Order: sequence, then structure tokens, then C-alpha cells
Amino acid sequence: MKKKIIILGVIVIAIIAILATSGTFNKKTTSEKPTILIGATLPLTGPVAVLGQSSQKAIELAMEKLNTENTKYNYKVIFEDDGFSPTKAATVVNKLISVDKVDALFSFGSPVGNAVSPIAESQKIPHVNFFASDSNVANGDYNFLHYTPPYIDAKLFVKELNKKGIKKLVFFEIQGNAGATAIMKAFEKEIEGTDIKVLANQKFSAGTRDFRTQISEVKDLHPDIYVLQSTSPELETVYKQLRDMGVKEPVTSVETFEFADDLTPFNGSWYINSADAQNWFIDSYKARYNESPKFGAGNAYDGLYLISKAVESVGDGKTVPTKDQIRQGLADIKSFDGALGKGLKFDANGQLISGAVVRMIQDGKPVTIGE
Amino acid sequence: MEYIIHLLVLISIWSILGISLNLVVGYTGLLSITHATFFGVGAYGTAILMTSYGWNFFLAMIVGTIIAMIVSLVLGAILGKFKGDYYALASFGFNIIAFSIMLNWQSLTRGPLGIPGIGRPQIFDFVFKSNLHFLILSAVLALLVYLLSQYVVGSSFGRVIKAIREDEQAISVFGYNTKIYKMIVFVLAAGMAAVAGALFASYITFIDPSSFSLNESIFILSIVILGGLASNKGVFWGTVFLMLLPEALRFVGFPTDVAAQMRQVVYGLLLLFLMMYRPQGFMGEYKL
Repeated sequence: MKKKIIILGVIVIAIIAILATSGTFNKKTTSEKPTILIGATLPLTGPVAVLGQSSQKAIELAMEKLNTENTKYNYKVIFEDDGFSPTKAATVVNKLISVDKVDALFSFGSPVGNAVSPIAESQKIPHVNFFASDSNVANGDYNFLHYTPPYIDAKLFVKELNKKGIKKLVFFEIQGNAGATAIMKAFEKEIEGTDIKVLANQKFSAGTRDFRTQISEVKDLHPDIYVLQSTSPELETVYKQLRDMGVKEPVTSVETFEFADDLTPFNGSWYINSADAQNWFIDSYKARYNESPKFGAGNAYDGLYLISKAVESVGDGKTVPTKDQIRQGLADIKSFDGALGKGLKFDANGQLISGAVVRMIQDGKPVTIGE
Repeated sequence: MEYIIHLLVLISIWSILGISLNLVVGYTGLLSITHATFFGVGAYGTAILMTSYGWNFFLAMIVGTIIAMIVSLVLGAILGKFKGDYYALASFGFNIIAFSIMLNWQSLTRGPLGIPGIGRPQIFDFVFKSNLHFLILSAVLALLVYLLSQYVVGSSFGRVIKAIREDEQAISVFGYNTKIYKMIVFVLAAGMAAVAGALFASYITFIDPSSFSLNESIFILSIVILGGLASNKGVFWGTVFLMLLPEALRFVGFPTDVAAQMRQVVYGLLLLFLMMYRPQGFMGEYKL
């Protein structure tokens, strides 16, 4: 027994020793320009890995571009996987701060953002989140958020419904998705006092493959439109089964159609999406990776440019600015031109407000038809 | 240093979870796969009382623990009707129900949006704000849970639950009401898990249902099996190993674009080899 304990003790001490000394592996390199080190906790595995990986690629693209520009500093990003788990993200961020000694942080999505924000605030380190639909993530002096707020999506959605004379809706909503929940809450608030009615909201869990019973329950309500609030593959499955069961009414969505790999089935459908990434960003992403950027990649790309804009404005190019100076630099950004558009501004809570657009699927491709 | 302290806080919290589940699985032989339910009830109870009603952490933790014990009393009464694999399946079902309630009772739990801004513990004017202070608190509670568990398993009560694990029918012949014993262990373990939940909610300052899913129950069970069934020391080392291994793998220089996936593969393989060559866990005295 004693031998086992000794072996275990040695293993544990070895692991701790690796953890304690490993900071030396990631020390900032000093070339002619000082390096700004940023730690990114992203969902590189798990349920939204496809979005996390696309964000990583977008940040790498921004890093490559930025380091060829005439800047005072070099920029390096350390990527860590959090699997979209708030607990893992808290661990990752502690590692990035105390072992890698990063100057700023990136995080992705509401659950992770909500776990990272208090750490960033207590450690006084600038933190930019992208893709969080919960504005709480931007609370505090050191936290910033770059994503279209749900109330903007909801406002545009209601405006479009009114324009088209659509009054009766049936929702199919996936459970456990913070974004879908936030949009639904904002939508319910937006339709208060209007004659737009939600006839039914058919909720389902991720992994559901058979929607026929739920469709049967609402089919005879004959809504003006079905709203499909789901990620892929449930999104395509519910759509196919609606059509298989003879449902002729149109379908729409708020921020979900583009989760589908193949948009062709939704040809002719209009929907609301967060602000368009600019063409120059889409083209450079495609040229670099031979694929289209996924949802939120433009926000991630902008994240690095936001940090660089702040750093370049407060740094002298000889020493790395303090974290507080970087935070101040971010707070002082009056207008930002990035992948998500020109002239973007932070609101009082530290959320960079980008707009929403109306799109239509044409020939299997999203086309913006209104703002 | 903050990183090490953070990991030690997590080790303290998951040690409580492992030690408490060990009472049920390791010492009593009941394969429960619903421990994350009580972890979640404790976390949500504490978080809601602190954020919505401004309660002090310690009071909220006590009430959260009582709620979890009441819930476990109900679940335990139902689970008492099952044995062996059926017990495991039924407990599995309860975790799914609990997860679904956390996800869908949005007026109470905020569903997938979770509860942010949960405060840190406070005694009079002293706030456990720094991670070091929180580590001291969580380590003390983990030690208390360990000592309580050791006391229970070393007592005459502990000998009865071990006898239930070995042969329930035989021990009932001697007049012991095994249902009561199993119920007491189940409720006690649920209370301990709720304490871990309260610590977790207050430490991370944010909770959402994803932290209390079936996967979490399986992870806690893995800690117990890897550490060694019916060995609290083994469970502690199992926790240390399972919490530190993925972190150690972060420092292995895999190529950036596949690093996350490679770490998962290596992590899985290491666990596989451990189970192949040491199926009783590090210090286990009993095999499932």
C-alpha cells in the first residue's frame, strides 16, 4: 500500500512541477517589437466546436494580418479548449493569467463568458467576449462584448413580421441553447401589446430526430409562418419532416439557418441574422482556409483588432502597456471599423453594438435583402 | 500560483463529490448515476437564495443542503424498489429529469442562460474573496466530509452498509432493515454533494444546467472507480489524478490546430490503460 501511495505521490508532484514551471515555455518572445500576449478560451471540442474552431481560424487570420502591418507591437494569441464548459473555462483562464501571463483574454459564448467575466474583473485583466447573447457578460470595467444583442434581432424580426402582415407564429425551439432562449425572451417582450401571437412553442432537446408528433399537434393551427430556432442537424430534420407531412406554410428563423451545412432546402425563405460580415473578411477567410467563415468568426476577428486598437493607442512601442491601460484603451474606442461593419460603437455597458440584417436563401446561399 | 490554487479548490470540491458518492457506490454497493442531481440542487438552492433573496452564503448552503436531502429522500424511496442494474438505470433516469427541470424551469433557474453574479462567502465583515481564502474554506469542508465519511464507515453503521453491499439478503436475516440503512446513506451522500454544489456556485460565481448533466454524474463515478471503491483515500487520489491529468496535457506540445482533440484522445487512452491494468482503481478494496 505504501508503495502505491509513493508512486501516486510522485505522479502528482511531477504534474504539479510541470504546471508550476511551465510558464517558462510560453515566455514572451522579444523581437524588435514587444509582444502583446492574448489568451483565448474557445470551444475547440464539444457541441459547438465547429464555431469555436472557425473563431480560432479567424483570430489566426487577424494575427497574421496584424503582424504584417506597421504596428508598434507584435500580437500572439494562445488558444485553449474549454469544451464550452464554464468550469473548464475558469480553469483555462486561471492558467492563461497566472502561467502564460497574458495581457488580455478572449472568450466565446454566454455560459463561458459569465464564468470568465468575474475572474477578469477580479484579476483586472481586459476581457473581450464574442458570441454571448447575455449582456451580463459585459458587466464590470474590464469586460467587453462584441455580438449583436438579442433585442436588436427581435426588433428587426417584429418589424419584418409587421411589414409582411404575419400575425400567427408557431415556434420549434431547441432546449438548452442560451442564444435561442435569449432571443425568445427578447421576442416575447417585443410583441407585448401587438397583435402578433405565438400559437405554440414546440420545444425539443438536442438529438431529437423525430418531430412528427410535435408537428401533428400544431399542423392544424395553420400559422402564417413556422419559426425554426434550432442548431443543425435538428434544424434540417424538423424542416424536412414539416414538408414530408404536407405543411405548406413558410419557415423562418432568427440567427439559426446558417447553422445548416446545406442551405438549399431553405431556398426562398427569409430570416433574421446578426450583422453581415463584410465581403473583404469573407473573401480573405475563404482564400486562407478554402471554406466559408462560420457564425461569429467575424466577431472573433474583430476581437483581436479591438485589442490592437486599444494597445496601439495607449502603448509607446517600447514597453508592454499595463492591463489597466489596455482596458482604458478599449473603453476609449469611440468608433470601430471591422469585419462586422464600419463605425461600430460600444454602449454604456461595454457591448460593441453591431446590427442585424434580413436575409433570404437564394440558390443555397444567404443574400442580404434588408437592414 | 493562482492557477495551482484554483486547481486545488476544484480538487477540494470534487473530493467532496467523490467521497460522498463512495459512501453509496463503494461502501453500500448501490450503483447511483444521479449524484450530479444533488450537486445541482445544492448549487441552485444556494445561488437562488443568494442572488434573489440576498442570503448569506452559509445560510443559503445549509438550506440548499436541506433541500437536496429532502429531494434525495423522495428519490431514495423510489430507488429503494430497484436492485442491481435496474437501480443504476433508474438513478440514470432521475439525473435526466433533474437536468430537464434545471433547463426548463426558467422562471426559477433562468434555464440555459444560467445564474450569473453569485457572491462569495462572507462571515461578518470577512469576505472569502481571494482564491486562497476560498481554498482554505473548501479544504476545511472537504476535510470535514472526509472525517465524517471515515467515522460513518468505521462505525457499526458502516459495518452494516458494507454487509448490505456483500449480501443484502443475509444481513436482513439478522433483522436489519436494509432499506432504512440504504436510505440514510443516500440522504447523507446527497447532503454532502449539495455542500460541494454550494461551494461550486459561489466559487465559479455562475451556474447553468450544463454543469449538472449526466456527464457530470459519470465523471464523479469515474473518480470513485479510478480512485478505488470503498477507499476514501483512493477517491481523493482519484480526484487529484482526474483533475490534474487534463491540465498536464495542456502543456504537451501538440500542433495548435489539433491540440484540443489530441488531448482528449490521450486522456481517454490513459484512462483505458489504467482500467485495463488496475481495474480495482488506485486503492480499491471492492470491485463492481
